[in-house]
Amino acid sequence: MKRLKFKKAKCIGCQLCAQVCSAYKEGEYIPSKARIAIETYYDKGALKYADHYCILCGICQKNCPTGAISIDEYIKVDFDKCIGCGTCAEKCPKKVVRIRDEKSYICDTCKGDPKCVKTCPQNALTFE
Amino acid sequence: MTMLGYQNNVLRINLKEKKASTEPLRMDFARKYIGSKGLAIRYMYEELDPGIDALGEDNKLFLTTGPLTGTPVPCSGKLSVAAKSPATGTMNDCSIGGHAGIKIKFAGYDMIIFEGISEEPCYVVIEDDKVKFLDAADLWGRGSHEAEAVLAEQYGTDYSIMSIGPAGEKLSNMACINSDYYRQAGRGGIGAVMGSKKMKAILIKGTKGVKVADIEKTTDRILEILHDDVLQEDNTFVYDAGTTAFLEACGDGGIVPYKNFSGANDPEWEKYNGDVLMQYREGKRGCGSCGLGCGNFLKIGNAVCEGPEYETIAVAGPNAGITDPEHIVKFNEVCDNMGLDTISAGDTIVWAMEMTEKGLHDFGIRFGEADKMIEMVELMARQEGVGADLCKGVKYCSEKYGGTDFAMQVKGLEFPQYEPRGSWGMSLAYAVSDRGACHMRAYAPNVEVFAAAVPPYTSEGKGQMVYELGEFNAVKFSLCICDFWGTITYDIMAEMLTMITGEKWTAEEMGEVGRRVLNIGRAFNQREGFNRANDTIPKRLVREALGGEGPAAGQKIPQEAFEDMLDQYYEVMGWNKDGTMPEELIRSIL
Repeated sequence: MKRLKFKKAKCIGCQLCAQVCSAYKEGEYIPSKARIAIETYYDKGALKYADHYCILCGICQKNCPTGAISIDEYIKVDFDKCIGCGTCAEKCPKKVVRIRDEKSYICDTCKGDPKCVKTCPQNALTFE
Repeated sequence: MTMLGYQNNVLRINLKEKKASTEPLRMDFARKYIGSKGLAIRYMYEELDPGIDALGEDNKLFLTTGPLTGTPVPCSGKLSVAAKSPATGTMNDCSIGGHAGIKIKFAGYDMIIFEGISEEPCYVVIEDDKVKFLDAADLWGRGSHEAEAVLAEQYGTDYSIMSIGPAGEKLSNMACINSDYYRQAGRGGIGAVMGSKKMKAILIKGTKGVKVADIEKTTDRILEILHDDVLQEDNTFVYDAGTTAFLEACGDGGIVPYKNFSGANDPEWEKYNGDVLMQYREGKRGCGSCGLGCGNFLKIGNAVCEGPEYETIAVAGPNAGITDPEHIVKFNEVCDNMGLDTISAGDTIVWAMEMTEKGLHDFGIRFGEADKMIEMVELMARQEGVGADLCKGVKYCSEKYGGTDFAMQVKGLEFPQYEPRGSWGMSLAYAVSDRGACHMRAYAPNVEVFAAAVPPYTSEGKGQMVYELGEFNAVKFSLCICDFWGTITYDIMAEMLTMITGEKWTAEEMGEVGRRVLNIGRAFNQREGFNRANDTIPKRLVREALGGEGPAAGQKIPQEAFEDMLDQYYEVMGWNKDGTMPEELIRSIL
């Protein structure tokens, strides 16, 4: 199974990944709803990285109380079963699950062809 | 009327009343001026009465995005920060990088206008529709970096922070605004305008989105442009070396200033060039929506900065007669933290060095004195000792102490680090720029030196050349596109603007917008009393043959040649011989 990989030494913190993710998934440029959030910032004289992206660890699936989450080649959330309880978001080690209107929104790697990887101008994001 | 790409929303904040309100963006202005630079100047022309005190309650601070801000159009993350300038008395729009621009857009605003003066030092926190005014008593007097660190600790790193240092608080003509620690709205005392409002910092974050016409098609095309045009060799030097590369490129043309522009080309430049500086690089950082990533985060000894950029290297290095790279980085860091523009602060110090060397006035500092140069920055920021005068810039100081011939400034704005005797078009660009000596208005060395497409030591054709460069940058900066996307064309600009706004824009219209932006800036300044008499260059360029080394050594710009270039430029612009604009021209652009 292919996964997103992030090499922070290459990241310039431009956030194009999140803008493009939200474009294809939400129909507007809205990083706050994107399924990836990679940012860089300075803190105490050092350059830091906040890398929220799905690593397909499956913890969300294991903890889902209604069995709404399945993982094959990528994650699927069955909205008929999802009750928006937020357990997946709470347990997600990368803090990348978004709960909105009582539903869970999780990266599906654009069904195995992630747009964020195609976007990344410095090849900090790869799919391998 | 609304337009896609825009939020169609302006946030107006009155610091005296501690009130915030919103209003629709003037779309009649947006259709003519697009956004960012052009839109900000149009608003200033509308809202700032002639003759107001730049540091008084009537001046306003305009933070202006554009229709491309917040979209993945590459290099579109810059923000215009504009006000009437206390240094020049002209309009002044600065372009700041970092992430503040996209966060303003995602908070739901095209523009934020700060009005009035707070009674006590304050800072403002903007999160979507919420605006809070907070007491900045504990932050006032602190360095800009220190203030940002305190605020980031308190509010988290989701906010983009813009702040001033002591120089801005004390209303220095060369005070800048910092953002994300290391990005600046640098020039013309824009930080003093923020300081005059007693506003130490602005924090912004937002969760809203930007809507465009056909988002999938638009995004597909933007990604093509990103990979096929932006991320090509002509632009990617910016990632590899950033503007440190200009040291060699400018050196080849003999236009790197040496010892306050008395000569060119330091023979020891390899001690602090890009190859040396990049050895200390710890990371790369770009602005929001960037793609290229010009920022070099580096540390040498106990000095740290994102940069240093070419301007800072040249002024703290060869122009000061100093060859130590750690000093250059330290100068950059201290200027940022104190909230001083490195160009104007540096130029003023190197002028003071020459004054001391020549025995005209003892400022207690000479060429080559690195430690004293750093101490001088602190004195200027705090306005102590000789710093109390020097913080006002070379125009003020030379009128008080002499040395006007080699006070390198136009209209009170100090010279960027390009020697005009080796690029005559640059002397014209400095003279006619809308805010005094600025290299971002018409970048003549690109044509005269780097590309060597036009002979540099002649007035011939320079009016048209500087006009074309100026028109191009004026529209590019009105789209908020960064200078480092060097391969962008009017066709690409029009295509992107059409996709984002859903309205038809043509390449021809891009040129028309650029011309209009040049004219509205001039119209603002004309109303303030500016004309040909103010479009001047320092006598050093006219009277003294350029010293030092390199191909431009021995050059000077005869007065007749300079006047010829001015005549040409005014003619191209359709202005009168005295540099004023015909009334019908002003009416036609409003």
